[in-house]
Amino acid sequence: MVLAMIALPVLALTYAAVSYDMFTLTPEEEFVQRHGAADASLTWQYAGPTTQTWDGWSSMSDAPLHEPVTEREILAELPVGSRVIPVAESHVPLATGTGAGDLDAVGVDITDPLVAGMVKLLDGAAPRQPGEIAVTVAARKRLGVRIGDTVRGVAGTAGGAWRVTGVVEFPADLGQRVVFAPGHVPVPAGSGREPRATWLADTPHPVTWADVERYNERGIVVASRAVSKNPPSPEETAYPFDDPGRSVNGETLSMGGLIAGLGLLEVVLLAGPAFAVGARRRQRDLALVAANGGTPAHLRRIVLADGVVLGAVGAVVGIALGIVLAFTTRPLAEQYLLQSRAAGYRVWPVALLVIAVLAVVTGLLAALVPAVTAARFDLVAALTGRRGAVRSRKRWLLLGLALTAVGAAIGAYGARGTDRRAILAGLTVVELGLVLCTPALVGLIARLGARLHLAPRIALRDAARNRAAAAPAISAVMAAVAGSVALGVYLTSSTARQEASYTPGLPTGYVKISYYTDQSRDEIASRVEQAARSMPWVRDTYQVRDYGCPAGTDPEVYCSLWLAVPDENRCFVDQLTQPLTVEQRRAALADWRCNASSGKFVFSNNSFPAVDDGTLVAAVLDASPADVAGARRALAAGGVVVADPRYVKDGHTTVVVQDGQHPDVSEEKLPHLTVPAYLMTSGIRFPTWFVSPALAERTGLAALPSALVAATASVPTQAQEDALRAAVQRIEPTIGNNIGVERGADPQEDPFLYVLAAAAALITLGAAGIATGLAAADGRADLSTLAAVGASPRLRRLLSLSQSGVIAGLGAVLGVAAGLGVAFAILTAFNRAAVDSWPVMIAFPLTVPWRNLLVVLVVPLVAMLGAGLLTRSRLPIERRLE
Amino acid sequence: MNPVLELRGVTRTHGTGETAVHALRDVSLAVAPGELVAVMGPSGSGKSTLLNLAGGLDRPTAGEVCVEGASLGGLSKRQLARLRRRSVGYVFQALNLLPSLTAMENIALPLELDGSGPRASRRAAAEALDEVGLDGLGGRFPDELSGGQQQRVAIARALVGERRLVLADEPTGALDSQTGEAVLRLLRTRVDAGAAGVLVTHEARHAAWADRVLFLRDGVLVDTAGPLARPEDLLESAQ
Repeated sequence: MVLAMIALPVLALTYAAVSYDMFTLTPEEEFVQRHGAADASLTWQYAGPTTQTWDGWSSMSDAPLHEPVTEREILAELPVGSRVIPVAESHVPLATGTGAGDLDAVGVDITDPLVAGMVKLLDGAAPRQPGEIAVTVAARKRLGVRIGDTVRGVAGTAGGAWRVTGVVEFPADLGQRVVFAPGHVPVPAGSGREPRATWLADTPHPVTWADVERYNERGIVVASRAVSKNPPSPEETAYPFDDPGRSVNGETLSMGGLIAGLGLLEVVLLAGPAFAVGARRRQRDLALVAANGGTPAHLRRIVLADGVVLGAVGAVVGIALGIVLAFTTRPLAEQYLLQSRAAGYRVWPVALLVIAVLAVVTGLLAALVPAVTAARFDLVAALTGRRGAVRSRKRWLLLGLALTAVGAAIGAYGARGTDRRAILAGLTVVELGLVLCTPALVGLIARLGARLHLAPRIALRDAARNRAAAAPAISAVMAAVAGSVALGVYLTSSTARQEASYTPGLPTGYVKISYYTDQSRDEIASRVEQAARSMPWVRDTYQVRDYGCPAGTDPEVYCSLWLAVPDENRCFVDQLTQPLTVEQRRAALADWRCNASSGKFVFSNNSFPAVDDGTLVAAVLDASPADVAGARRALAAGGVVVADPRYVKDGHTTVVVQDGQHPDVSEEKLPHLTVPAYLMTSGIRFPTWFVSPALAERTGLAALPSALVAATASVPTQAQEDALRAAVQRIEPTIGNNIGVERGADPQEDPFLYVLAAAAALITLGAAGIATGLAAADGRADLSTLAAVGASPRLRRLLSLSQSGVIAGLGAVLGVAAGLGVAFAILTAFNRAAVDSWPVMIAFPLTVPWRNLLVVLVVPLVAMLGAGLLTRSRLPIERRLE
Repeated sequence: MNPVLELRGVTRTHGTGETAVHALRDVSLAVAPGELVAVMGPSGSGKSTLLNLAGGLDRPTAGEVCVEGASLGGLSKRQLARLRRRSVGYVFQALNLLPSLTAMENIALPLELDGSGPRASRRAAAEALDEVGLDGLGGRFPDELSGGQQQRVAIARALVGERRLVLADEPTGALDSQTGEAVLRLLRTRVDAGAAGVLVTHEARHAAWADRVLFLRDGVLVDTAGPLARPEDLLESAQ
């Protein structure tokens, strides 16, 4: 068991270290994946000087974009003897297996030695003719084709057809890509998407940073193999945000150190009890050594030697398994996690050495307390098989309480300043404190259990008597559960916060199809509606009409209307030019006019102003019936409907009209109309407005079809979206690019947090397993006695179940309490710190991660059931006899 | 009077074939109410096996074991457990008290297991505790008691309730002679009150407390004697 407890985390650490090393490409490896065997990759981006990052990822210039260049022109810039090949990248609309899709397209000769490492032919042949393509595995799936099949163009490439000649792979991007023969990437009609070529160059000598700067003067952005090996220092680069090299900063290091420290503590807590049980089983052996003249030092050394040996064996086993696991699961990680290929199969010797040393140290640390205990035991009691009771010392309890308080203070301090290091350090100290408090807590709870049923009573008292072994196991479960719960609180709270700051334009899953076309919009609108209604997953459709210039107006003339914010409804901050003082921030926070958006700064692209008689308001805003009725009344009265209170004063709002008759006058001189306004208080908080048809008519503007909203029961799949795109592209090619699906907020979380949460769940399971083992080891003699005095097999199982439950259950309950407490304390401290911030920050809601809690609480139950089922109900003597 | 314990042609063999060990061979025995039988013999003679069979902890390879007229061979595990709770009291050499229960709780254990209410169980346990002279020590845990006190608790547990059969496996093995004598006196008193008792012992002076002495060697009942005036004589004759 000790071996497993050490080997498991070693395995996990090795897996992480080896995977990290394989997926962390050296600058040269990264260069090869992106630019093949070329010495440099050049893009003539600008018509004037530019500055760029050392790797060519980013550049900026005041000069206009350069026109696409020819091979001759780019060669003229390079040393004599250079050779270049073009790599053209674009998007091409193609018929997919379920409809139509816009796929990444590359035009390059994949047989040229310069692209070696950048693209690889997996099957078939390279496309050489204008009518040939090669596809990546992901693109092949979406297009629904095999080698030899034909892919047809849609929309702007309608009429085109390409035979699939091969399957290719771009190691840097395993996504959907289609490779065309060089120079034959189709340009969709009317898209203006002329692909800008990047040139892979084979030069007679390496391209240095000085060369790159010289090319920059001409407007050429360069990625150079030689520069990637020796990036310039920040002083040498003119680009303001460049960060040469991949320096690991102090925060990353200290965070890593703290997390490793927490991990080490977990392992010690897990392996310690297992050692304690082993030492107890060997107590008589150790007593015999003592009886034959062994000193306490001898006994300590015997137990410690166990720790070293088991640590070393655990390291070897864990590292070997971790490497095998990392190597075998690498393709899965490449495909599903990172969508790119790792570098060569390699290990990270220094990291593995550190992990091995860590394992041995862990083994030694885990054996430390059992070793000291073994050296101090009562010799006679040990020889006669008597087991002594253990009392927890008050000073440990006091120290634990003090550490818990100090850790909470550090965490709260860290949260106020959003210092992640301080937060994690605080958590670590709290955890240490709770570990020291656990024995006393176990003793206290055992005393409260006097009136319990026999099995839980014995189990509680056993845990209290053997608290040297039980407390670390409880602590391990508690720490793992606390960590998992705290992370869960943060994740759910952060998600809720991101959702709260997002303003959708439509109910989730609804689709908006916009028309930007010169054709008759009424006819297009009608045909798009038919196309959308032909989709079985579309429940209903609604035409959206926007206001614009009446028919026959000069296309250069701009017509619109908007709402004016009354002076008394303006936020004073808008008039300020200097940064806000603390007093001004507080005043702004207290002012409703400054808080109208309530921190909802992320707006959906699917929001729109519209001319509406109430139909749309009722259909797409998810508003209450009262609000819908109010909105209908305002629209019937020739007014507008808004969700921003700043526009409304005394039930009215002011509409500013640009009717195209006054193209060059300032806003103040444009016609202003005061109309009834209804302020929505429920549903989607749209930033725009709905105007009545009567108002549109009154302003002289025309209500033109601008979009179609398709109501759905759920978010459409990629295949459903492709089918809709194909249908609308048949009507008008460009409309396919204007399909917007309302997917709601898309919370972005650090995947590392999920890894930590998974690790915490794994540790909980491991600790629960330990609890089961402990119960089984400790209860063996007592089970025999119980059997002899007539306990039924059921009671014996119940006792095992209770023994496991005391450790796993108590640990889980304490962990949930600690995790919720710590997380809530930190989030509250963070929210308090953010109270004065401007612009308004949405507070982290104190959410309970129920799914997380369920998993965390189910694990101990599983462990208990396992203990109950695995307990042999037959008597030891009965077993011996079979 | 019907015997409380009866063994009829009981054989117990561990293992099979060439490695088979015959722990008991064709042993027959009856113990009547009010009778204390001592079983003596060298190590490995089958004494503990006989006791395990008598208490239903083990099943014979051949023959039949009856307690209060019920054949143990026909009982399920659950029924055997009930028999041990209600009819059989065990006293082990290694004390075997549950360390997590107080002396009182250890004594009340069979009653509690049998479904008696906590109050009734504790009252009966208190009486048993008083009977073995440990009045006032019921709240102590085994680790807080001396070896002699622990053995008295073990006897009290074996005697509590209406147990008709007391099986004692070298109950004085870990005790000094004075405490050992006191423990045996308790056992004798209980048997005199109507229970049947089987005492496994190595020492002839302890066997002298019995009404009959059985001698086992290599699993075979080799001799039987009445109350011993000089148990040492019997030992000499058997060897």
